[in-house]
Amino acid sequence: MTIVSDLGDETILAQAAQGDGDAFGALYERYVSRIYNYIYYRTGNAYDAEDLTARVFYRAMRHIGNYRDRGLPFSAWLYRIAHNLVANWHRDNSRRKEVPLEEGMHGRFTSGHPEHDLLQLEEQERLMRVIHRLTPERQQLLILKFVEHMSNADIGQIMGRSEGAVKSLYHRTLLALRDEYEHLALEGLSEHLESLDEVGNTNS
Amino acid sequence: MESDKGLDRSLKSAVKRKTKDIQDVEARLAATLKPVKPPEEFVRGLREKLMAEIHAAEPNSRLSTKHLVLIVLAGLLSVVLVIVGGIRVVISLILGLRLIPRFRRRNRE
Repeated sequence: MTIVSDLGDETILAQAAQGDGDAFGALYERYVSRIYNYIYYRTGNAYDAEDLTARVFYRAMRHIGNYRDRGLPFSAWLYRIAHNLVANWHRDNSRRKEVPLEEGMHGRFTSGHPEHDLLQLEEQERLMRVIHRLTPERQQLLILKFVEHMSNADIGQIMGRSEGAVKSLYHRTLLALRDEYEHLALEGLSEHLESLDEVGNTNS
Repeated sequence: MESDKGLDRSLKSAVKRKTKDIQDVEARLAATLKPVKPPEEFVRGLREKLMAEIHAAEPNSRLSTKHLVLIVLAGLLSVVLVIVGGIRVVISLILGLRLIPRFRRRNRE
């Protein structure tokens, strides 16, 4: 007897499209973590990541019968749904201040040197702030590359671009990130110096 | 000559610095963007909800197909009845208004 989870995406997809619950369950198991990660890094918090991940799979479940194989992997379709839902979420929450990934990052640093851990945490929070300033497309590229460890060719399939275009976009993204990061570091430094000045003035 | 060499050296060092900057950015990204594990409770809970919805939808879809067939049959039957009734009304009107006197006359003859 064949176990559903051992089958390829296309076979499971065909079964799921005919209303096979086990086949859809196998697809869910295969992609839930990836979709969660993508949304988690795009929204910046676990609560919304759970909510939007659930919505992605509900939507996929309702529309899987209409899914047409156009030579793209199933994951591309799921990422597209996730991308659209995240875009709507950003539009609806544009006025709300974003809290960048604190709960996920606090547990990461346990070097035994609290000061060093705190510095690293601050550094990563600063980087996340810079990443969130990038365009959604560039954010998607970075998440697929660093969180999912995908190749440029696979990323290209998901983003609907050629491998060369992804490579070029990646390079431009790194340059933009470096410039933004330096800009933010300088801003932080000047703010720090201003606060030192204020302290000095108060003391004198 | 000397100035050319100096320019070449400064260009090379600028390229090296830029490459190093980008490598630094990549290293920072690799350290920051690490995969996170979704809470197991959430993954299990969502799976159960999805499965429940799929299984709940199955009998409903069969029922709705059955309903649809019954509705179509009932509709067809109603149309047939209306047509038959209409024909009977037309026939009885024709008979009642024009043909009955002739019919009576024929009977008397």
